[in-house]
Amino acid sequence: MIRREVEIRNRLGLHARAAARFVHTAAGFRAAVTVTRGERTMDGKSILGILLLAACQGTRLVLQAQGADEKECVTALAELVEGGFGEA
Amino acid sequence: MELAGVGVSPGIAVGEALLVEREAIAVFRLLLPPGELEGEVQRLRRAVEASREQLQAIKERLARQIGSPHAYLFDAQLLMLEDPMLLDRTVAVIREEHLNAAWALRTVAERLQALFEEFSDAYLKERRTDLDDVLGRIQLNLAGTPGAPSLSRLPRPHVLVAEEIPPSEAAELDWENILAVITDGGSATSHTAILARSRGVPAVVGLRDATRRIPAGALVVVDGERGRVEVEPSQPALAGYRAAQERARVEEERLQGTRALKAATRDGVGVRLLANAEFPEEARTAALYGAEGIGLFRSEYLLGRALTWPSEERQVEVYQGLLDAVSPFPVTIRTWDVGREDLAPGGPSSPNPALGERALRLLARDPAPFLAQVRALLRAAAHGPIRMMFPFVGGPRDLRLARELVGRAVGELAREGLPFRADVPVGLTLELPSAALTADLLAREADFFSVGTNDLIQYLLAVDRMDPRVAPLYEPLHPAVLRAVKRVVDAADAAGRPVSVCGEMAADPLQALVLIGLGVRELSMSPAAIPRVKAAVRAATAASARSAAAACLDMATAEEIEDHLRRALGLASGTGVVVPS
Repeated sequence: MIRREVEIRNRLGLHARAAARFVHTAAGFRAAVTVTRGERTMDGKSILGILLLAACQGTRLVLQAQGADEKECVTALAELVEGGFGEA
Repeated sequence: MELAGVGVSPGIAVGEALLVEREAIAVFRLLLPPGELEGEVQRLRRAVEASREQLQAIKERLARQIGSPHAYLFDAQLLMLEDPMLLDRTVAVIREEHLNAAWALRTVAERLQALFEEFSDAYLKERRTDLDDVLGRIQLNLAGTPGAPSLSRLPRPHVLVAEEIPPSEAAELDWENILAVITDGGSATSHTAILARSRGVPAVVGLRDATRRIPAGALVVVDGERGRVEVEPSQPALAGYRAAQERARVEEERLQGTRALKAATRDGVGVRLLANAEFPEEARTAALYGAEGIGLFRSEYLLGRALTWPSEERQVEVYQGLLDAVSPFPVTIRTWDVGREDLAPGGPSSPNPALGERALRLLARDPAPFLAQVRALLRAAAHGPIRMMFPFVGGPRDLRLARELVGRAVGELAREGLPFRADVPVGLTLELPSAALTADLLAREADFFSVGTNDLIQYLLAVDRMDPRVAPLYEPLHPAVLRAVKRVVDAADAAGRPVSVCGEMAADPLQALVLIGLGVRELSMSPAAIPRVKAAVRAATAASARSAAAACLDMATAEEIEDHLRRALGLASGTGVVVPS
């Protein structure tokens, strides 16, 4: 299992478009993905779950993946988040 | 737990509550047999698949029209559609709780929606709109999949529990599988109540919060006579209700046996009992109950859900069908009785629709729909005895407008050489106080009167029966009502014009007798009420009804009048159904 902590960088946080990109990316891997904010852990392949994390700019999240491609999966997701989803 | 409302269709029913929730469409909870669960899961998957295709198409169209950056919002919706928090959980609820897909989805959705509501962030709160949009779409597709249970196709008998039932839906209900109808809103004159009565299905309206207080699937007893609903009754109470139900059934059979009997008082005064109808199929029910014709056909049903004026040809067909169903008896058809609000719901409305632009008042705006209807009536009259009745006539001037319209239609049809009858009786629904006060003048120009007591009472007493807070003030036996009817009957008699009563008063045995006492000889009511009124007529004498009515005209309150009538005519309260306390 791979675990990595990331910080939301983009101004709008994990809003609809960002959440959709996150889920799309996660769905591209076979590994099971979870995202944790504080006490709350959500399925990384569920857009409702990601939206319900209510992660705004500056929020710290823990990404975890388990499965054959877990390493690539966490790397790709971390890059997406830390790259601010390619937004401002 | 017992709930109190207004009984609008008598009878007792015992059954499982079918709780109807109105979102984009009606959603209700059904317990499914284990063998049907996988089929239900498949229906859910097909609905989700259909939703995805629709969203994909919308997204592509949007991308073409305004560019792909804006289409991303639909990415979120597409993902929600197959979100495990939504889809997997719904499937689990179907399998574990044996529920129909629509209700399972609603249960899961409610939890999710509650989570979104907790957010303080306005942006995230707004994502709920996306979720609601997706849920509404799946529900619509679920309702559209083949084999979907719907209110017009129920798998087994239920007691329908709803906030309100819109007329278009009431018309398509699966009445064979509806034991009773209970609603939070509604009134005795709402379409659902009218239909329930004509079907002999018990109904209670005005319960205010029945949909919140009755759990889906609960066993409920509906007493349409007393306007009571009991939820999960005790065993002894239930046994009492079942016994009362059985007695009512026996009584109903006895009344059905009176079909071939003549409606005449013991002293030989004949009263014609006619049926009110809203839908063509009710005309057949009317014949079944021994109606001597249709005294009121509410033609508005022809506008359909789409609220569009029907063609003249279609109308001719429907009117001829009514004639065939009750042949050789006559059919009285009321012309369009709609308000501007009814035609364009959500559009501009009068401050007070009941006093606004409706029925003949719409003639000035657009005569075409009225002319088409009058032409259709004249043409159908070549097929059998039709009477043409104009509602909302406030005095001779309104009646003349109607006559002019008939004259114009006659001229057109004569020129076109189509078969028709020019001598169709033209009358009016006497329902406005101004018409009651000018009844003598109207009698000179109208061929007949039909007293529409529902509206006459509303306008005379200034009571809106749809408003539960003032509904108790709606008193059919108010002195003003009896005096108005008396005035109208006397005016009609003096001019030799027939007069009938087509409101709910005609269907109540006690009130029917006072009407007979006032000189009315034609009563039109919902078909199922005919046997009951016939029994009351046959048990009474016209002489006693006359003297009782005469005495009532000098009394001050509805209570005094009712007490007097009961004593003088020997009718107990209620109509024979004994209810356990």
